[in-house]
Amino acid sequence: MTPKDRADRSLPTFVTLLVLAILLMTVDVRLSGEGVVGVMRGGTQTLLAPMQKAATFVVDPVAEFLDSLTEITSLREQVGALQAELAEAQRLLAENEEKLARLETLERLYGLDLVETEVGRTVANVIARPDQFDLAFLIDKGTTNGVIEGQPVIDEFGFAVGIVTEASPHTALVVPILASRNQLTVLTGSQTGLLSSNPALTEMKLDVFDARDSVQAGDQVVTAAGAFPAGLAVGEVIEAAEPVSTALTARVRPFVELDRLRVVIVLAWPPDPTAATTTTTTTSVPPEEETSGTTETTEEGG
Amino acid sequence: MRLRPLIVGVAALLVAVVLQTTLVSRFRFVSPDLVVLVVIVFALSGLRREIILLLAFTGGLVMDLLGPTVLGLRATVATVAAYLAIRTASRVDLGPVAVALWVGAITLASMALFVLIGTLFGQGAVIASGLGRRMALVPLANLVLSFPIASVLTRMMSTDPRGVM
Repeated sequence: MTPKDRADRSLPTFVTLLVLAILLMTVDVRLSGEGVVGVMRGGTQTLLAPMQKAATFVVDPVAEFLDSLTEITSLREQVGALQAELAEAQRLLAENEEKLARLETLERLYGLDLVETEVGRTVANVIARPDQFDLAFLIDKGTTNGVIEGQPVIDEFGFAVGIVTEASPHTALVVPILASRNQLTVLTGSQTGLLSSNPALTEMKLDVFDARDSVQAGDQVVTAAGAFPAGLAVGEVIEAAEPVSTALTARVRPFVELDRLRVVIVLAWPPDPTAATTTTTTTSVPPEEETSGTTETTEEGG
Repeated sequence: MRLRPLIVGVAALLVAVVLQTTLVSRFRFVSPDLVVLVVIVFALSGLRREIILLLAFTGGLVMDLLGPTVLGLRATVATVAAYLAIRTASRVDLGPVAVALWVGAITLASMALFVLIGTLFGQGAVIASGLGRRMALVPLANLVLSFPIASVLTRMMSTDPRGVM
């Protein structure tokens, strides 16, 4: 008997699966990814992580080689531009060293004692991206390494990347700020604003509601304390904008290059774990025992 | 019951999921949807139609579980793509070019469905940058890849291919 000879039950099967899929969507939306859905996601990610790690191990050199082939023509221009940037950075560094020395002298004179908070760092590899429609990506560190939901993620240059939204024992899912529906509180100069993303664009929108000054093209946008530690570079203003009444809107280009991300750093932020958003997937292992990588010291209120 | 097509089908789906989430996502300009491509090609094999639909649903569900989008979104898309493929597979027995065009058309329909359902369920993140470019390039990439993949998969899975490849 061939498959054709059997009774064709494809339509009832199709309808059943479609109904099941709609039910799953409804349940997922209602549970907001928590409960059973969260456990299922964690389990699947844990099961497939070894295969994804192995594939990434093979794929990375190939992908980087192909990337370099496509960029070979622009490399000379990039080298020239980088040399100019380096010269400018060295000049600024010399200036800043002078200022830092003066600052240290003044702090000593006035007896300032800054409160210091240690922020744990977990270095992780990007092992997978769900598909071409998602900017979110999987990393190879999870709750056993102290990575929990809600922790901020930065890249190797210290630029803000995104937030951990799911954490299973050995992997975690990171949603970049560029794809997040949540607004990010940022500072540009002395003004506080909200940075929001538009999934259809590669740039972000900055809204300052009590604007006093205009912003100029190239002005840096940094994180304010909240989801991220304060002072992390997020991006730069693309073009100058003037306040209208007390509101100001500007376009911001994020610094992070999501296509090129291979290694990221998860910050154990906020420093008090009880203040972090936790889920049922959170491990009872103290983060500091399992956290790999180095520990950084940041200054709050400085 | 012939187990070989089923085993090859499950293995192909697993490989498609792993490659989709590791290799394919690294390329900025060539982005096939391997899971959709594989489930469409299943329609050309000797697998039972119900099994093809179940495999498509499972493949889509695994992709859902690996990503941040709502659970069931890609499962719906893959199941609909598989059903369209099952219903139209008998009309593309004109050779590899017809199969490639057929794969491209069903992929385009599945992309449109993905964006539509994603938007309806408030999945703003699924409508990432360069949507128009991707809507054009994903079906095109699937169309090109269907030549080798359809040829290899139908040979491996079917003792009685439906006269297509």
